[in-house]
Amino acid sequence: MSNERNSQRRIEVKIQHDTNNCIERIAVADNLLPIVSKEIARLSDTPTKTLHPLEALYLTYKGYVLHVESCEEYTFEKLARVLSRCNPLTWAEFEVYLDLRRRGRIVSPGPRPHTLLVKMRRKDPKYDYYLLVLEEGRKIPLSMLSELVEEARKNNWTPLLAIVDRYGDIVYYAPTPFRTVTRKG
Amino acid sequence: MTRARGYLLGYRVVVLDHEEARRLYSTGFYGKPLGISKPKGANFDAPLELDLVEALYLVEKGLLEVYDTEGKLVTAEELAKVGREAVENFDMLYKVYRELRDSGYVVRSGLKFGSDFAVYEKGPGIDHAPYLVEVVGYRERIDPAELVRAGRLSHSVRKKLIIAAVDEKTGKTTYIMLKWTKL
Repeated sequence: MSNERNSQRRIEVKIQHDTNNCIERIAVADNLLPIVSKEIARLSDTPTKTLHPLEALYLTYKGYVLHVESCEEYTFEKLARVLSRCNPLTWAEFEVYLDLRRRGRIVSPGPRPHTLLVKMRRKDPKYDYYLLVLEEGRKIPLSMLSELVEEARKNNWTPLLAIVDRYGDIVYYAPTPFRTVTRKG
Repeated sequence: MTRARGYLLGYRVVVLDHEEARRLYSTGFYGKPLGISKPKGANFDAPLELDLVEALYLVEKGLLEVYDTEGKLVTAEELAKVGREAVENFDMLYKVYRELRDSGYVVRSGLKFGSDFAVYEKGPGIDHAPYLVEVVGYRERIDPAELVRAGRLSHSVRKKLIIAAVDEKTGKTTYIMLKWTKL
């Protein structure tokens, strides 16, 4: 019985690395697609074949163990360490991802590093929010904020900042353009 | 309108003639009458203190001329030089001040709220300043915790925080309003 339960928590995957040898995508074995799709709530109803590292981390957080072609395995602890080597914001991003998932939001990795797309309910036709994860102590150029606002505007998303402090608390801020010229005349 | 006469006293400009002081204040809520923290209109009888950003703006608009303690006329360029001595990011502050003033806002010091400027749509005594403005360099790197602190501060005084990011290379200012939100 125990073996059967354990095998249900095993997910066979193939890992794709980028040119810096960082984990880029994680492909899931076909027979496990229904489980993965159920756990990883995304916009599309089509099966989730490849996972973003953040989504893979979420699966391991939920108790799944990733088996890479039956020779190497990734638990939550191991994957968190490996991902953090390439992306020091991994933990902060995961905290935001987890916070939103726990509150029933539908979350997907965004088009740029450290971004997420969020919608409030599964039945909503499109993503509502474009969220940039920032971490206390990790300085950013102001230009990053205006790029976020501009990209969100083009895609009809609401831009958001998720600022994670050093205790793991998250504050959300909505940045919007302020047009100074509107009052003139 | 004749130009008011101000004197550069340290890092501020003071209009000593009370009538000129009232006239300048009533033009657009410029400066602060000496010893009156919240003036009710321009019916005061006091000299008017202007900070260097305000004074430079008024000089450039032709509403003020500034003299040093020896009675020598101080040009706008010389005034800006004094401003740069007094305040590290004087040029960026001035640029934002000018843009907001030219857009019709009343811009006052935001020091008591912990920001660079408090911005009114009508003016002090008429409405409460709805915005606090923080001026930063567009290419400057800031700690996100600073955004939280500034955002929290403005939220606690029921004002909206605006980050004015000045790109010194292109001369463009990007204004971004930050509002605390729940998701």
